[in-house]
Amino acid sequence: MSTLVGTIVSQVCDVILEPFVGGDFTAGGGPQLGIVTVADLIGYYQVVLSDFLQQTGMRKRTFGFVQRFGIARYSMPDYANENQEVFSDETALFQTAGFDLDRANSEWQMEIDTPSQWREDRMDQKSFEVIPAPQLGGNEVFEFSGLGGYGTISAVTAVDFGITLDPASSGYGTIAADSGAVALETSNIGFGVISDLVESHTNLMVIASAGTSIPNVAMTDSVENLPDSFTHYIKYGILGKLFSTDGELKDNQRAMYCNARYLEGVNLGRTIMGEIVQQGEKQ
Amino acid sequence: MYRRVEDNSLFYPPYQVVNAINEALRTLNLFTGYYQATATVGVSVAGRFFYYNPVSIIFALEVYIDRRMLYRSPLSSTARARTDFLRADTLQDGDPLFWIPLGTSKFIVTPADTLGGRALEVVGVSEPPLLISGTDISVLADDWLELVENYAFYTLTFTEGGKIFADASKLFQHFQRRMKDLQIWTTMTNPRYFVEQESPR
Repeated sequence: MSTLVGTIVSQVCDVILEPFVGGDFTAGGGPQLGIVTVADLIGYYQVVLSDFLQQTGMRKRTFGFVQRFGIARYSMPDYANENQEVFSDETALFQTAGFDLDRANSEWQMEIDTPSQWREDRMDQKSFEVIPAPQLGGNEVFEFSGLGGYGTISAVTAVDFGITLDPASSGYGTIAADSGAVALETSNIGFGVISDLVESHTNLMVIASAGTSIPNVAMTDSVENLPDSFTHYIKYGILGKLFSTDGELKDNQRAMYCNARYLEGVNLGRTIMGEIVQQGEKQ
Repeated sequence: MYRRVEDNSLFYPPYQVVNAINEALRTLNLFTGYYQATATVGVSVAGRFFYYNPVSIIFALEVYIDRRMLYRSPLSSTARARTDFLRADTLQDGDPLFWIPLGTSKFIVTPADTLGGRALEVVGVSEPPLLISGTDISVLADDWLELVENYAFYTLTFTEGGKIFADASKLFQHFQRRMKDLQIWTTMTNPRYFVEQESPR
């Protein structure tokens, strides 16, 4: 995943014969004739990449939530797509539906116990509910203002393995790595040790397909969540939109070709997910 | 390749030719899984379930721990068969037995290695070695040479548009037919593509 957004944008410019200046994708570079602007291309890039990830479900992420006593409903972040599995205290819950729960027990929403099921139907978008509502709150690291601790580990929903340090006070360093051992790089004397971050222990964890999480993409960013071998399909997705939109670049034949190539990439992604990753199960 | 584009390095600069060949290699590899490799993840970490695939691997086919193969098990059926699989560890449940793919970039090993320190390896389809300049060499099977050349040709003429591209893009239809024979996938469907014909008035 080392292909840069700028590499895709410059390849799009090559095809539409738009001279591209600034090979290192720094400020001031980009298309020169004005047929398209950098903002146009970045906008198309984000739309196409989101669509590609949504359709293929190639990237799965874990999303953690602090389990709250009596609270059954939780909201997923915007960049989560489709929930696949939900865990409470590291135990997988069975998926169910509100309709079935209503028919089985009309008072199911009043129950408080250890969660054993989850559902996402007939609810707000990007949310889910665990059933019964939890009888125990999960572990959480609290802030003790002025007593050495600085900030709260408030959320474990974030990129990939999902550990975010969200300090309420000035931060002393950053969590430098989200794979391998978690490292805290400090520029000042550290206060204590982060000894163990088991995000799912006593809490809720969702495994879901993920979209893009970077809101303002720059040309120097890497293409998010996509192996390099798939990045040229994003190029075709962008070109398909450019060639099929009314304007100077309209070209039906090339739009057909681009759309066919983009669909080829989507189908390949889905096929890999179906045959290798899920063996034909739900994506 | 340069001969196919009549050595027109002004309209087809060398970097674009190299890009087109690289794209051909990547596409063919996705269809055929031609480039496969064994890559080291590192060593198992005590109590850890989640691991990243090495970046050189596009998607994993097998996972080994201390040279012993783990059985692939999809997430959904694993969660149904044993709801507490994310609590299983080698102390109570025996050696790691399953790996569970999580998309293309991560996987779960269960039971988790309580002590850690065992070698983890992944066998999978890898990124193809890419060309950087026009003089680089890529080792290809004979039947791939024509495919790569044709692919690069219609990718380059794509810039021109019009009849030149429309004619060249018929090679894409040929490519799709060849991929049906060569691909490793049984459920892959190629999208339809056809060249519009101009009809006389």
